[in-house]
Amino acid sequence: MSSNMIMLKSSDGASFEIEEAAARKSKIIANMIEVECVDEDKAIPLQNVTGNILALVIEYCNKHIVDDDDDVATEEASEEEEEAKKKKVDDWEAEFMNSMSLETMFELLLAANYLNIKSLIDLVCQTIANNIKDKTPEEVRKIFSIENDFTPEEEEEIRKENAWAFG
Amino acid sequence: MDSRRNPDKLSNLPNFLLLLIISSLPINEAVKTSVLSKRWKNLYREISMANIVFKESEFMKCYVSDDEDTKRVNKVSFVCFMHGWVSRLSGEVIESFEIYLSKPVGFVNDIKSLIEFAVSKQVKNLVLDFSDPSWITHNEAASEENVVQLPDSVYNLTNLNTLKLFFCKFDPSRLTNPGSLKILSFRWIQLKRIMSLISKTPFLEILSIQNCWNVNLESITGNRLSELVLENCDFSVEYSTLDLPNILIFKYFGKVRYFQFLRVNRIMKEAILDFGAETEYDEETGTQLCGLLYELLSARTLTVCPFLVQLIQDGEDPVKLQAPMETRHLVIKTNLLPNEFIGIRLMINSCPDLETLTFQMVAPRLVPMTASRIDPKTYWRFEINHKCLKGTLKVVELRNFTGGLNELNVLEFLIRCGRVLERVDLYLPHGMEDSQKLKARVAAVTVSTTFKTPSKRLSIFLYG
Repeated sequence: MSSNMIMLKSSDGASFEIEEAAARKSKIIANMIEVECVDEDKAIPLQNVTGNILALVIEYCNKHIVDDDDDVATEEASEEEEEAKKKKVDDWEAEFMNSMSLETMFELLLAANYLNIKSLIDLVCQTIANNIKDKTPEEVRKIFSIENDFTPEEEEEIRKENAWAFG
Repeated sequence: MDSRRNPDKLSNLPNFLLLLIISSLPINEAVKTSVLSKRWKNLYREISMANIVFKESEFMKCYVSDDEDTKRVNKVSFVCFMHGWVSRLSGEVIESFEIYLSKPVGFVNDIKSLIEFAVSKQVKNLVLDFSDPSWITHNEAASEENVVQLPDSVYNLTNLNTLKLFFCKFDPSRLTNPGSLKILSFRWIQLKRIMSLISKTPFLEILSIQNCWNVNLESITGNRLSELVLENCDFSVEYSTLDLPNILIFKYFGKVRYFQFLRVNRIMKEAILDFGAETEYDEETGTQLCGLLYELLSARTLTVCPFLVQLIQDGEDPVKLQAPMETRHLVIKTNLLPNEFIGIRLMINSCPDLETLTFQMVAPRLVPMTASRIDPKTYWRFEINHKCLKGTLKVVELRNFTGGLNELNVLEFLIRCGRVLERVDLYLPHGMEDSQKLKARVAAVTVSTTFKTPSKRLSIFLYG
């Protein structure tokens, strides 16, 4: 495969080199490449992504470009191999998400949404959702610093309304 | 991690991202988020695919767009976002589908496929707004290239409940099953064939036509119609015949227009007559306006404009309307200029059951419309009393209070004659300069300390 490299520039002026195929995971960048006929030596400006977040996005795209290629190439791969590969990706993703704070995750979600990278949006959402799942509302409030602005009566009312969900 | 000191960054995320997160949860966990805080209370309800709202302005709030290039990229991102969202949906039906996207040039095919998606899910409420928020008159819309053409499939929708179309190509005569429509709203559209649509909508409850042109509105005959809004339209017919036996709300903004009323509901909630910047009138105009108020006399809340209060005295009787209004709350948009005084008094005199009187000060006209022989200093000193001042008027509001002489003269009159007056509420305008604020405050003190009243329990407040 060709390894056409393009440059991306973050809102705070940092430049990043990335394989075009990896960058195309973002529909927005793909669109910019097509519409604007990007110069090879001109960086694509991304006004809504800071350097530290863009670095994470690129790390993610680089990792997944390989996987996507494999998907095509290994249609006849055995189930076991598939399984092993999937586990490897899952482990990498878990490690990747583990390495960042909640705050970074929110910024990453905003960026992934902006750049329109579907699998990354799903990954971040799922990770944030895992911090909500199987926890009491008190625990969730504590994790995300959510201030409870209900009166005890109001809260009781909502719990009653959806008693089935609160089990 | 001591999270208590951190601001709540999660709840600060825009709704559409929180919804993505919530939809990654199992359903019972999603419901449980309702108890986290008020912000979360009803969010989970939106994840059911029944109601889809794509608002460009909401999306743009989270992303900067300083220059045209970035704005364009953001728009692409928004359009991709809509596609992505739609591709996640799996249910069979959509209740509501709404797109708000300005300057859609270049996205016509995207929009078409999104609308077709909604149609394939048998959407009941369809809202499509491609207008530019900066537009003021329909001329701006008419001169812009109107690129969005509704796909054919829209015209064949059945069970359509609500249809709101702002700035797109639409032919009202082509809807094949309009019978189920309850809410129709058009804005920034040419409506040449509107009659062939509204004559086939027996269940229509709300009709709103704003900033449209070539509007061929010959008549409205709706047994169920409860709300009619006509705003700044250019009509292609001389007058409209209205048969509105169940109308509750009637709002008209724009040039003076003749309506022939066949029937009007006699227990109306609200009427607004605002002729805005209209300057044309003749000797018939006063009588015409009196006739219009006669048809709307049951309106509990009535709003009138400077044009109306200047010309209403030209009707048959300069002190009262032909029949008393049943209005409880009268809102007078005004500059409180001498040429409006007779009309203001006529309106107060014609509302014998008035409970609340609001003066809403508006920007003055550049050119005075009618001259006045009235002396503003003495006009409100005459001992004339009106029925509502003796028995019902409890609240007087003055919005955009600046403490001007005419404002004080009118207030002095109402306070002096209002026997059951309980409250006078004065509201300063927004963004007032400090020196002007001071003047208004001093004036408010004058009102509350020196104006005499027969009322036993009057309180005067200044807000803002």
